[in-house]
Amino acid sequence: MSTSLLEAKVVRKDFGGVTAVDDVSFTIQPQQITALIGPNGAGKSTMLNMVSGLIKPTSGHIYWKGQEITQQSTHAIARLGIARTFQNVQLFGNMTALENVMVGRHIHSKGNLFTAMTRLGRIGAEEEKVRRDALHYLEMLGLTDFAATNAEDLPFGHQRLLEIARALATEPILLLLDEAASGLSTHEKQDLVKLIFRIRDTGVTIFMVDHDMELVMGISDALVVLDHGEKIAEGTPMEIQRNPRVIAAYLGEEPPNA
Amino acid sequence: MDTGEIVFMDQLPDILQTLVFGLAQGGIYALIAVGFTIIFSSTEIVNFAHGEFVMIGALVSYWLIMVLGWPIYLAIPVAMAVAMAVGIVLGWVLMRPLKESSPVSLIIITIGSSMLLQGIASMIWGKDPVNVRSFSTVESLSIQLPIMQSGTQQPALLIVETQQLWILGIALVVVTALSLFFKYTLVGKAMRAVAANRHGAKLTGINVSRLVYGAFAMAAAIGALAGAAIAPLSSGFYNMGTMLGMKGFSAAIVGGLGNFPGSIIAGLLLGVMEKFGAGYISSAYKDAFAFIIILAVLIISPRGILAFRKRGKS
Amino acid sequence: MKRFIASPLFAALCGLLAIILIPECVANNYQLGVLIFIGIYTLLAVGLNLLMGYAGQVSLGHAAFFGIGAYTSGILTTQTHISPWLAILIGIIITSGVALLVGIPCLRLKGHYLAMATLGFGWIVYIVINNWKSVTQGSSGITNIPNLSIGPFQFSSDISRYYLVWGIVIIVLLLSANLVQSRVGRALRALHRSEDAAASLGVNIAWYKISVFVLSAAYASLAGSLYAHTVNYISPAPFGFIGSVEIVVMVVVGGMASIWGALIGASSITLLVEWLRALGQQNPKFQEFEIIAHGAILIIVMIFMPMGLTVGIRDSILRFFQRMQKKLAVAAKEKEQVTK
Repeated sequence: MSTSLLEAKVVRKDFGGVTAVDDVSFTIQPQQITALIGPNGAGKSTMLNMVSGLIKPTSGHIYWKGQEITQQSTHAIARLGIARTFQNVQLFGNMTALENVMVGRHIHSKGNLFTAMTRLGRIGAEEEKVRRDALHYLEMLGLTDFAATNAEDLPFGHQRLLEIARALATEPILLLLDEAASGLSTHEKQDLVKLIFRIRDTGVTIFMVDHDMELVMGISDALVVLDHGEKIAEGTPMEIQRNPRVIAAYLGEEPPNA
Repeated sequence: MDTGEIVFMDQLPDILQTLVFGLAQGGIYALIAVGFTIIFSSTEIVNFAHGEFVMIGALVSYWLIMVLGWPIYLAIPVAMAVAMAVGIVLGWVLMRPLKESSPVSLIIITIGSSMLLQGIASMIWGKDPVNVRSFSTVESLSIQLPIMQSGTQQPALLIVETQQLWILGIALVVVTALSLFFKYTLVGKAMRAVAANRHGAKLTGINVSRLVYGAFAMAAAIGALAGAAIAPLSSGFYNMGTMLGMKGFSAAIVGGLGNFPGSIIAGLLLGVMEKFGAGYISSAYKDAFAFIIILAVLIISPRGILAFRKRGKS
Repeated sequence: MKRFIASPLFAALCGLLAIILIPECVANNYQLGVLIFIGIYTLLAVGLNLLMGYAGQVSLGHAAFFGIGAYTSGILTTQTHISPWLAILIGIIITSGVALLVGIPCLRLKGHYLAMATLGFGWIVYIVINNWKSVTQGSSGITNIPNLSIGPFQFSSDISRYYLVWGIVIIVLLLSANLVQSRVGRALRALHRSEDAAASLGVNIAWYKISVFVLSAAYASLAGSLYAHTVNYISPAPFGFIGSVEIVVMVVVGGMASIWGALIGASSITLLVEWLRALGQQNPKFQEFEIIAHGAILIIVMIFMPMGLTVGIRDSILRFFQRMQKKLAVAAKEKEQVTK
């Protein structure tokens, strides 16, 4: 237990009278790919938003390396080493691809209002370094040619990649991917799988939310299955595939002996 | 202990008098607040030009009644129709960029429209305030109170202007009519559906843009009615809508945007508090009152208001 | 060299040259006066553009900060005889403090609600200025505000004031241009588009919103103090709701998220207002045109160029060139195929 990177303990989220996440617990082990799956409306994105601090749980606790982060603000959680992408890609459309990734370097640079305005201190050198680092992440995702393109003018597949590049630029320990495969072509999905392995191989832990069973089964080390806000199963892909409650949830039937 | 009571009895006629003035003023704020609410709940636009509907109502009715000599029962519907036409044009202008534009651009468009309308009004009617005669030929009623005027043996008098009664009557009728409209008519129900879920409403085949025009027309007509009703009490002028609009808006916020009974109560309350504030605290700062209320409500319970927004959106 | 030409410093040097040369072409003191006003309004527009154009936070009460700066300068220098420079500094400190107090609760609000809150704040300040007669002299205003001076030299002539104001404007523009091309500027633009995404990258959005709000209030305060010390007289009129809207118009016309656009917006609106005023003096019928023109400009620009005039025009020129380039490329290809 103490080896887990992130742990959610009986986390609950109510919206008005509706319970989106119903006392869910799970752990994320370091260096692994963990996936949170479930049918539409199962509460996956809500869970992810709670991990990244965008919404606060109604009750329950979230621990990062044993420290409680439940009530921490999003930017503080980001500084701990948790980065994310968004289901409906949230790029800064008014900025170039390069500038988007440069924002990803925010926590690794220091310039403040005063030094930025006066260019005092080593702000010029820092800026140069931020630019170089950002270019490195663009290159890593094969986006170098689009560095000067406005983010909103990129084709959709590239937008998804740019969002991953931007998240990686924060040098995360844990990367949260929210439906990263949705809207991609089969070919692009294959590339995404390779990319996810590559990221994992650099030592980044991955927690992904997806409803594409096939994709998730192929790549993840551990799975958590949600249905109607409740955790119905947890385990390796093999175990999950055979779990009758999971099958029922996906086929919309009652489990035979429940 | 006794003296306190006597002082209170002495001041009672004054207090009642202030109350009457406050309620009448509040009735106007309530009518304006209702208009804000109608437009906000169907479009999520805070219409900064809403006060101009009030101004149009006041000045058009002035022109028809005092210059052309029309009877009031004919002049007011025409003034309302003019405001409705302006409202529909404004709705049309706002609907064009509505789909993707930010609140900032919409705010600026409504402010621009407000300035444009004020400029046009000052070209037509000039900048000097104009007076309109009150709806009834009897201008005021004196009511004998069952208490004595302080220091004398004469009964205290409460003076009620008939126009104030008109305002309260109109506010009552409008609110009742609106409640019935939103509860029982198909169009009213559709408008509520759009407010609750714009996208969903579209899917069920409701013609959203026509409803938006309807909302603008309705709000404009109510605003113009308020303007025609207040003009005999406080005269009409080209930029009267700015302050009245702000007060109406603050009532709408206090009442909870989208909540009709709330708007009415808040409007009346604001009018009464303002008159008492002016009478007993400081008349110089009476206009600051509405804005302090806006700030206080926004700052203290942004969550309540934001919660409403979310409900309206998703 | 190429890099130097693209840098804000080069632009600033060009601006400096223009500022030195312009008075040579200007015929009279009236025109110099208009240029001074353009400078002061440029400061206001740059500040509001940082807040509105870059960070995406509306303020409909910016003239209040302008007013607090002007009145702090006016009151302190007429009643206590402290140095006007010190008064400017105190003005900036007071205004920043007020902005901090107002900003912390208000900036939690979004869109319309933020607009309403700042508008309410603006009205309150305006009403206080009008009614706190023992301090502000109410609508009759404060007269005999002293000039700024350096040693024995007084900035009393129009030409010296012109150089003073524009010297400050150039410095502020340079600082602002530096700001937007930095880590902080990127954070502001990022939170404008998506607060969630910016926060998820470690940007403390509340802190940046407050910082830029206070900064833009400080700019407005500086502009107000300069106004007080160059006109030598202040009354409540420029600091009301219409004043706030005017600054918004300048930002919108000049172009959202454009430092140099603020300069263009301030110049074009100030000139337009002066022109309409001159027309009004010739023919009273035109007096209402000022407000009508204002309104119409706002509506038209917002509908057709929501990013503002300069950005809108720049984009359409760019699009034109891109189309030309494409045509040329196609033509070249066809030629190639023909020769093959």
